[in-house]
Amino acid sequence: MRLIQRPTPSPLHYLYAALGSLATVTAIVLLFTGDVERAAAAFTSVDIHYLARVFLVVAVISLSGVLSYRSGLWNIGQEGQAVVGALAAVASRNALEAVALAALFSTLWILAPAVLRATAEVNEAVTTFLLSLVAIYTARYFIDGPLRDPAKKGFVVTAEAPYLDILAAAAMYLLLLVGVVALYKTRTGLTLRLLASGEEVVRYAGKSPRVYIATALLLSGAVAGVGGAVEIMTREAGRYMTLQQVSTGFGLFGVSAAWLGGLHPLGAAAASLYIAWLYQVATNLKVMGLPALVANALVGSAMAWGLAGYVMYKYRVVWR
Amino acid sequence: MAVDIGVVQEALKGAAPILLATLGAVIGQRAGVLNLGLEGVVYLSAAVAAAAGPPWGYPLAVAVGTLYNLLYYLLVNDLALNQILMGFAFTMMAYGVGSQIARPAVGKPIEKPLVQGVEIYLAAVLVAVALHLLLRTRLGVAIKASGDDPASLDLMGVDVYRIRKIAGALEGALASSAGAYLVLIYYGSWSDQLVMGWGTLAVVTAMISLWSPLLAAGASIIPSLFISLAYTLQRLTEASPHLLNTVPYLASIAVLVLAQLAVRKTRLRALAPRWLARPYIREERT
Repeated sequence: MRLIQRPTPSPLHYLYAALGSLATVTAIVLLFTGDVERAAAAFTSVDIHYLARVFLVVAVISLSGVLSYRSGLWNIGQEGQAVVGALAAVASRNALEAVALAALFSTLWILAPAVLRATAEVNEAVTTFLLSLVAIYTARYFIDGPLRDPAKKGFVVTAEAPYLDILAAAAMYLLLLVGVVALYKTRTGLTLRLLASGEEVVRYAGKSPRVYIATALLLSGAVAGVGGAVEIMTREAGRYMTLQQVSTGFGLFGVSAAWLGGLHPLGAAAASLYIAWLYQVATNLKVMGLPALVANALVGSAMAWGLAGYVMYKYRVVWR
Repeated sequence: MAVDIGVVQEALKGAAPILLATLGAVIGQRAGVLNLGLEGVVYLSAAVAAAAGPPWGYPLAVAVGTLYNLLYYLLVNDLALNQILMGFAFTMMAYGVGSQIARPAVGKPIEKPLVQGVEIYLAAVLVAVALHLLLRTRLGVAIKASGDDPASLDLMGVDVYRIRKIAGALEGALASSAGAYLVLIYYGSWSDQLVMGWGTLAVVTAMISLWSPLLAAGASIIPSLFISLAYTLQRLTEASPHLLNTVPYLASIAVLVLAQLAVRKTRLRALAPRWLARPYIREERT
């Protein structure tokens, strides 16, 4: 099996990747359900509010992925940054404060990896991933301690996060989307994307790579934190964190959407909708009594196809 | 200053799985693959070991973990999919599948063999010595070359893809032994959160040890010492156990930074595999 570079890359291959993902998902669902009728039910039952909520969370976090990966930087700690964002939301009095604090604290959370990458070339994939695990334990400390709701005697849960209407969340996402698209039209955005070609290129362009490395990672962290806040605040009920349910897995979903969408803000939006639907399918399967791991398996395969789409865009796979 | 023998013994016992997984990461990273999926391999093999129990749990876990790692290598090596993101996805999938496989083992004690710690650590050090010697053989040189200059290796007629897959098999076998050890010998029980983070720590320890199996033997004690200290402090102080659990990860990051700063302006910097995390595509050879 070898890769041959295509003379003319075509974005159509992202579509093929999406079709490949769909075929894989169909196979997985058929495998778990065992019959076509139940599989069809899992595919077609959709709760619009639920789908919209998951879409918005995944779409916001996918923008975090777009911001870092298009700059050639590997922030894979979105899960941890989202946990920090959700914690900030739980500690807030109103939705506006929650979003602001989520962005602030998740930026602070990624500050160390950003500075270490910019100044000491410490691998940001390793540090952001390790900090995700740290975020989970830190969140448990806050749930069990400073943010524990004393009114819920006998249960270790936080106070409830303020409610954020789904339309307000949609408006916020649109603002972020427009912001990222607009950023890429500016000179700063161009320099951020130049980073992916190498720090030397940015240096030749007369800019400091360190500043742009830090900027890309901090922006990425801030957006992932907002995603975490949106996740907890748009729930219709149970807008609190428990010791067991700290990590929601939406970090992986956002990263998958970014790649499946070809690292384009609008492509990531379309991929987020697809992943939200996959999540709905997984939820339907759970309701049918099938294992909870299905959601991860479905989204994980979508991510693999997204990465495959990226490779297929540039290369042809030949058997020899 | 009095040294708590119990902490040291626990640290040595805990250093053994970290050393095994670190040796795997050293081999993989030497070959040019930054495998964050190692965390998934450790977790999945631990889950298999917990579900199967002794005595067959160990070989079964190693077989499953090695195959899982080879699948990762097939995707990132032959198909050039992004190493970091695939590793991340493989870890997430292993968490999901592993927790499901080992669900019947939650809360059930596993009969542990009688081990004190020192002898297990010494056995792991022997593996490190063996790997050090392996890296001096023809195969070892090829593994190092595939991480430093795969194009030249290819020009010499060595199949880089095959060499990297051999490295992947070795890495998988070592990391999955670590996973099986954690459940069957170190903890003697299973819960969803128990094994989380050990594989990632190994990825960091491989970097701290400057990709040398012999240095890894010393470096693997660092995270293990902090894990043991966290447990001891939980017993002795009123500090939150949740916060104490963050110490091994934060300490590992701190040591990684110190190690990188220390070698930054020295010749040791050249030890880093130049093709780390970059896929090799033969048709792009220049």
